[in-house]
Amino acid sequence: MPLDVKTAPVADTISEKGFSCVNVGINCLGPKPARGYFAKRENAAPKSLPIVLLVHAAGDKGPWCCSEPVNALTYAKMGTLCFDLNAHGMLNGQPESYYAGLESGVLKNYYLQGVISPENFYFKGMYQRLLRTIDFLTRQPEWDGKRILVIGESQGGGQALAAAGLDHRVSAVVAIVPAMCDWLAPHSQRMGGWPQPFETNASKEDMLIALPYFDAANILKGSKATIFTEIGLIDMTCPSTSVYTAINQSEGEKIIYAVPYRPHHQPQNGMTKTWEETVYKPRELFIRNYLK
Amino acid sequence: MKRFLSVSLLAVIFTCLSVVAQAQNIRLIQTNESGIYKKGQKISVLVLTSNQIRDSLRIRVLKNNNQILIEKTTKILSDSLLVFESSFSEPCSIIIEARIKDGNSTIGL
Repeated sequence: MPLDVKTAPVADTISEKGFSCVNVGINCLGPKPARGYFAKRENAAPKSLPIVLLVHAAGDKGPWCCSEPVNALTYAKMGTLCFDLNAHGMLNGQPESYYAGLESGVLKNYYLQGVISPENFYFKGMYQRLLRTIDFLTRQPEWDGKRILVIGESQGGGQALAAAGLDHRVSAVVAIVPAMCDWLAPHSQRMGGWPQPFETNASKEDMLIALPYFDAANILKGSKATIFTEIGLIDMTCPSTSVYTAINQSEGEKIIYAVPYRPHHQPQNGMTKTWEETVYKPRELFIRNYLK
Repeated sequence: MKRFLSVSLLAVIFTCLSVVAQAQNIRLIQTNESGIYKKGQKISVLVLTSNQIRDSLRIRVLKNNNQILIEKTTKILSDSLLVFESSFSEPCSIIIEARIKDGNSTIGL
């Protein structure tokens, strides 16, 4: 399918001298186009910049679900081609009522839509949008031809792992408490990763066929990407066992921060400072060094 | 006497190696600060409390996020109490939750 890319400059970013940021829609196989914000330094030399792809956590209307120009520009200013991709092909920059409407409408419980069918499972469209965006980014003349870093948390972490498994051009991933791992874990008396489809009442027989196509524990086989991951050892949404099961399939270097006091969300209650010093800062350092 | 000395010694060692988990009136500490253990390696987890003597302490230990290994309520008789001790021959996750009237703490390994 030939790429058909629609872009519109983002008005608020006109003052960002030396950088451009555009609102992008990319046609895509599947129900929705890939949509997000793409930012880069203007007049960068050909083959000079790494790619950073930002992917989002679960949900539709919270600020953590929506692409923002500032996200893409932050990484563009680090010397990258940066795309902040929203997970659902949603229009960007809309009023909250638009996203609320999606959440209560077509995107209600999206994570379990079509769970018994490899053709209709919701994550098929999400992964198609991921891959399409990578296709778009790798066609940019400024791409250095070597580095593609995908960064995400929770559902975003799962997308990052899926990207590494499905597209071997992805050279590194930062996956923070990643979801979409080890969905068939209940077969082995373990809890699976979010959204725990096998723990629903849907047909187990059908899910045994459908789920492996989208499970990072299957998709990551053969990947040589460097994986930087943070694992919450008290995470009840994306269990630690699910993440280890997935990343153990990968052949690339693994940098693992297993955090004994981390649940699914960021640590609180007096552990924040410890976490910032021992986990967050090393992660930021890894990203900065990778993009140098 | 021997058991008292070994628990006290464990408390001293763990204090040096401890990871503070949701520190307030109650803390959980484990043998390895990292929470990562080798196959068959002994795991010990202590609960440390302050001024909670004679309060009730509820302990729950989960394996692989869905199997309850221990669920019990006990009385706090000292500032430290060994709440979990085991080793495993297969990879697994263990989550220990400790709850008192005025606080709770959770740690994973």
